[in-house]
Amino acid sequence: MAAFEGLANLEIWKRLDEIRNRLIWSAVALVAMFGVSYMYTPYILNQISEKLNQLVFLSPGEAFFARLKLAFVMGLILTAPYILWHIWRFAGHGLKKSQRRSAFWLIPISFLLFSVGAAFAFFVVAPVALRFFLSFASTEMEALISIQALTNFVIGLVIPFGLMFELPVLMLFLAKIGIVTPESLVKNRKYAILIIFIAAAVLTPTPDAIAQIALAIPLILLYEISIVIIKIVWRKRLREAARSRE
Amino acid sequence: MTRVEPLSDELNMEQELVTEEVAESALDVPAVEPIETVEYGTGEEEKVKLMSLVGHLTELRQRLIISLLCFFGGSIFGWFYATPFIQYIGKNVGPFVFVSPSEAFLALLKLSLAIGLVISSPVLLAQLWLFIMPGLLPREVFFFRRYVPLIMLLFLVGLVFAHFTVYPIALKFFLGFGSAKLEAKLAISRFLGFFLAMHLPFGVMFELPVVLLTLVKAGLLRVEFLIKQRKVAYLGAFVIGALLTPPDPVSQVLMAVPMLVLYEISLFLARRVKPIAEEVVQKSVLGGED
Repeated sequence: MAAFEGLANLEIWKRLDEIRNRLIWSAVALVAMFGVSYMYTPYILNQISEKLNQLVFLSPGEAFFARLKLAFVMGLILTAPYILWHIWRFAGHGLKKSQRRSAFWLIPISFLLFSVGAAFAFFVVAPVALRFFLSFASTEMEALISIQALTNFVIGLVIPFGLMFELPVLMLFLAKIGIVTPESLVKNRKYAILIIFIAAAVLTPTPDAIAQIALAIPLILLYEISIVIIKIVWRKRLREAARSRE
Repeated sequence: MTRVEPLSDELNMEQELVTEEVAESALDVPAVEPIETVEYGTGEEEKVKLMSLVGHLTELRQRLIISLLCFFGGSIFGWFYATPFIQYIGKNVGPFVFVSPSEAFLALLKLSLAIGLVISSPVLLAQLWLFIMPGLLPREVFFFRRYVPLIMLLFLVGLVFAHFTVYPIALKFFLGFGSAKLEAKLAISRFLGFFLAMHLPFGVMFELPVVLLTLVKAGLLRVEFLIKQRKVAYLGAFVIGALLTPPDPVSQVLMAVPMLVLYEISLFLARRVKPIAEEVVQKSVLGGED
């Protein structure tokens, strides 16, 4: 009996229990947001297909599955902060209070940056790219865009833009743990720009230069902004270090 | 006669070198490694100065630059002819559609690159030839001279054949299943894939005589064997026809029948070909009698 009580009190059981609860809550949230997103998919699809004369579906289930896919991706994006918060709370057990405080802003900031990137892709890049591609329609080649292809096109733009806009968070993190310094960032700017352009080409769904440039330019701006922020943080930290030495 | 970095005069010089006599006798000259000097057995000694590695790389670089420039020039030219080309192939098919946003742009891009490749292919092949030729033995040069034009010609004949017989028949057959309720709205990328699949395999297929005759000449196949295995060859033709064409019996048959005809033509020609080994034996026997 005593042995069982001892087992029941072990830290690991509590932790496993916690994981189970957090997983359930994450799943519930995901399903709920998925349902809500599904309601809003017609609005999204209307918004995208504004530029098109007609939208077709070529296999019986296509329209339904395209909506499902869109709803799932939207639900995942909207639930991501909540899931990340759970992960963070769970991982936080092993962290010191000061560490926990310093990372407090991480989730809202990364969500905000992702949203900005996704919105930029959805409202600016996607329409421009779409107009460019539709300009190749002619009497020999009529545009008869299928809903699946269109949904994939938009998702393929929104997700990479959102993810790539997390660049400042990544850079601040790397600066925090001391892997990069403001000087090294300035010195290696050439390579950073090159890598940004390559990554933009790989991540965007189409082989044209439009989406690539549309992704690379904001990223270069974000890179510069990150350098400024890191410089400020760096200076503050040096000042603190100097003060503590005195 | 000394050759130092031949670039422009190469062709003329090689023509001088490879007279019929040289080429014939070269067949039974054992392969000599062209390390420093190569004796061609014409009585007159031909010293071949080898180019340094850097020289070869420099030449390769030049030839690559020329090839790429021609390819890009051809592609830019092709960009303006991509739309007329689509118009031409779509004459009986009706307007194409594109299903995913980037499809039309990609189709035009690929088409212009393909046109660029076709237009610049003489230059590309000439560059390749000029690069490898100095490293070839005279009999190899002779072999290339004789067979490469033939191979290319047969390939072109295959393409033309496909375009004017098989392709229209297949297209008519497939579009015949359309009706008022079942409208043909062909996606451009898929149609281009179909177009390619109805042409390229025929170009390859028309090389059959060259392949068979080469094998017979090399002594790897005997004419009697080819005649005996005709049944297997016919089966093979239908299997290959099924593999190389879109998965339907019509284009399979359309491909298999010309292949059978080509097989018979090859057999007809192969009866008149003597394997190299026999030739050599005969020659050496004759030589012994002298």
